Order: sequence, then C-alpha cells, then structure tokens
Amino acid sequence: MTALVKAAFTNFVTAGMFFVRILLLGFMALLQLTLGGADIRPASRESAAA
Amino acid sequence: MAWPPYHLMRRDYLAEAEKKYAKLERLYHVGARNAWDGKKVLSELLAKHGGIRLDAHKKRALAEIFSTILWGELAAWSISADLALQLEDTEAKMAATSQVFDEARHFYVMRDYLLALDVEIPPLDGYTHTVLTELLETERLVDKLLGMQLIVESVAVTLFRSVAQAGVEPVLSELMPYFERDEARHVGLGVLYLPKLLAKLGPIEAARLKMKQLKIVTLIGWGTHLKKRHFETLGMDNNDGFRRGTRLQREVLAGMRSPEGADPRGVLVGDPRLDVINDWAIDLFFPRMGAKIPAWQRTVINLVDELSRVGDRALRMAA
Repeated sequence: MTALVKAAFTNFVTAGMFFVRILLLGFMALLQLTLGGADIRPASRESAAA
Repeated sequence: MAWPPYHLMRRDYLAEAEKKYAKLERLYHVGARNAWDGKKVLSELLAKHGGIRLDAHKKRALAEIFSTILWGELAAWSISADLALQLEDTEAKMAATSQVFDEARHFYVMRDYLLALDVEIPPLDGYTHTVLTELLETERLVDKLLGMQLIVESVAVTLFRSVAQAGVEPVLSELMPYFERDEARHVGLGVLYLPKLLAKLGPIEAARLKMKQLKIVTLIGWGTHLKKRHFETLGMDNNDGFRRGTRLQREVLAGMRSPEGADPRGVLVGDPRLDVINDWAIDLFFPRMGAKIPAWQRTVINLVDELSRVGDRALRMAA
C-alpha cells in the first residue's frame, strides 16, 4: 500500500470510529436522561497531581 | 537559513532569548542534573524485591499495556531527536536534546524490565500504531510538538502514575516515578515553546491542527477500550486515569495562555468548553472500577469493546 492510500485509509477508519463514538455517546446520554442509573460526576477542579 | 547562524552570538539576540526562553534552558540543566542511571536503578530495584514475582495472567496483561509504552518510548526518542534537529532557538534545542537522552534511557530500561518479566511482548495495537507513525512521519514541527509533547506525553505521565498507584508490581511501582518526572519535563517543552509556533497559525491551519488532535484523542479512546480487560486485570481504573489526564490537559492549556489570558490558537485538548462532554464521555464509556452500572450501560459498553476490536483489525491492515 502506498503511503497516500494508507493515510487515506486510516483517516477514513478514524473518521468512522469518531462518528460511531459520538453517536454512541449521544445514545447513552439519552438513556441516562430517560432511564438514569449511571454515575455522572461533574468535572473536579482539583490539581492534576491529586 | 544560512549556516552557521551567526545571530546566535549577537549580544542583543542573546539578551532577548534569555528573557523569553530562560525556562526552556532550565529544562535542559534540570534534565542533566537529575539524569538517573537506568541500569543501576533497575538492577537495584530487582535485587531489592527479589526479581519480578507476578502471576502469569498479570504478566500477560502487563505486557499488553507496556508494549504500548515500550514502542511509545522508541517513537518519542526519534521524535525528540527530530525536534532537536528542527527547532531553531538554542534554548528549545537544548530542551529537546535533553529529552533525547531521557527517551533513550526510558526505552532501554523498559526493554530490560520487559525482558526480566520474561513474557512474550504482543505487537502494537492498530490505534497506537496509527498515532505513533503519524507523529513519526509528519514533517510539520507544530504537529510533532503538539501531538508528542502535549498529548502523548500527558497520556504517558497519567499512565505511569496510574501504574505506580495501582501497585501492580513493586519494581514497576518504584520505577514509574523516575519516568514520570522526566515526562513532566517533556510536557514543559511543549507548554513553553508551542505558543510561539501557534501564534503564527492562520485559521485554516488552526482548524487542521484541531482535527489532528481530535483524531489522536479518538484513537486513544478506542485504544483504551481495546486494552480495557488488561487494565482491569491489573486493578487500574480507567475512569480515574482519564479524569487525571483531562485535569493535566487543563493545566497544560492554562500554562500556554498569554499573559492577557488568551488561549493559544489551534489547541483543542484541555479546552474548558469541552469539560461537560468529557465528563459524560468518561463516566459513560469508562465507569469507575467496581461501580454498580445499569444494564443498558453495560450492554453499550460491551458493544463498544467489540467495535474496538473491529477498528483495531482495520487499522492493522494499514500498518
């Protein structure tokens, strides 16, 4: 596979994986808002060293 | 640019550079002062703990996680050497040169540790392979600096801390802080030098850079799903790791802001506007270890884990 084809292929796969992830996140958020049960915690503001 | 760069000896240039980049030069001197003898540290730790004693299944899990680290260190070694070559300001060049020595040490220490672990090291997964080869092959300095110094090094710092805290194996737990201290300095190179490069970005280039970060973050997320069962075997909580990682990214971004508080152009990671999405994504995809989760969440997570294997196979085809 040439470098260009490889790059196009990995970009295509990654874009697909990104959209699947966003769709699943949206779907899970919807389930959480309707059914609930998941533990969602707000962003903690403590330092990264914690 | 003509060589040699005679301006490096001009007193007005030196005074200006000293004012702007004294902290960068300090990274080099701190690196030289704190350089540790990898052979000595590892052999002393192995002698102290009587070698590595770990169940076979935990050894395999460790090998899965640390194959990423091993090849990541090799990539970081080459990338920091590229940076040392390409960076023009002497102080940044010194900091990158110091990093080359650190990464070489990290690679041989990790290699020797894994040899002592005496387990077969699996090939690199498709996600990590894609991230590392992209950073190795790109000729764009800003991509290399942002991708390696701010994202990959931050992930490394977070992972080293998680491994040490999980107490997976005593030699490793005592070895990780040595790595972590060095990696924190490497993040410092990006924080201190990137704003200069980012200030020159136009809107199209800034958007392209954000897409690149989105790509790397997406690959890291899916790669973590792929390795999830190995993290669990070792008692490492991904929820905790991701939260620590996002806090670190926020601090990194804060360090890159101008004195007036303006965000640097083209940086996506650490953006506080994404905090809410990040929180939901972390808690929904990576619930806390041992937490009771509803059936719908477990079902979707199992599907995500399956999909991560599909993506891995697809990306390996291009490897």
